[in-house]
Amino acid sequence: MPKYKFQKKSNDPSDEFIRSKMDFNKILQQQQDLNNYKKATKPLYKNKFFLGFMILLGVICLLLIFDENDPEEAPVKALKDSVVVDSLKK
Amino acid sequence: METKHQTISEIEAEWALVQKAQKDPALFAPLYNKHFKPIFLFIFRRISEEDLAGDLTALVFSKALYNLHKYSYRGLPFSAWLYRIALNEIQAYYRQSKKERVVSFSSEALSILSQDIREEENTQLQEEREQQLLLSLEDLSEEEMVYIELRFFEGRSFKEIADIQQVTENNAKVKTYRIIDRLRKILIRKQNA
Repeated sequence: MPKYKFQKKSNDPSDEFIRSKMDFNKILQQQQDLNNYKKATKPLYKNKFFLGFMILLGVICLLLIFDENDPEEAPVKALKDSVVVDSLKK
Repeated sequence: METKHQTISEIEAEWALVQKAQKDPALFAPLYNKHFKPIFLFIFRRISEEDLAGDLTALVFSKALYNLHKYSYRGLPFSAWLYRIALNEIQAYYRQSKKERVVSFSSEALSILSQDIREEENTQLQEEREQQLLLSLEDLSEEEMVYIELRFFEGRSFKEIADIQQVTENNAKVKTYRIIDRLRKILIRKQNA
């Protein structure tokens, strides 16, 4: 099958015809629609508020985990418990 | 042909309009009004259907407006960017439709191309020579055909070709002459076959 169709240059469409094809408002509307569509279908992980919330949640979780497993607090708690037991015995 | 060289001040004035449009898309209107007709005709000569050319032109401007924030000034006319988008859209259309790519030319343009690749000892009649030239053009790739169209069938300068093809002016010249050389070899091969 031939790749190209060679043809003698035909007359260009008239200026009126070309003007009839011009519609800037439609282009503007299309662009607006496309922007809205992109905004609406933006994945959740690209949402900066969602991402910020997840990071904050992660930090809080880490703080809680480290708070519970704090090695310095464990002997103090054991000491307090033993003091309570001793006082009860007395 | 309706295009002409833009001076540096004209290119910079247009860049100022682009910058305004990047902030407010409604200000793209002057650029749209200025470039619609040349882009429409550029597409029409490669599609040969008026309504389809209108639709593709609308698509070109729609894409241009959507990607306007990515456009940066490199000293080239804004139209070169639009022509580049138009060429991509034409290629995408032909890839999808699987139709034969339309190449429009005037008799004078074909005659000039024929004279450029003519061998000195060739005594063929001009009409016969041009017929063989059209057969030889069939062997060119899409990119090579774009260079031939821009240079010979639309009579653009090497500067304009370079801007549209995003190469240097010198590179555009070298590529065009290489294509002519290749065309000459194809023509000789076909004549001897």
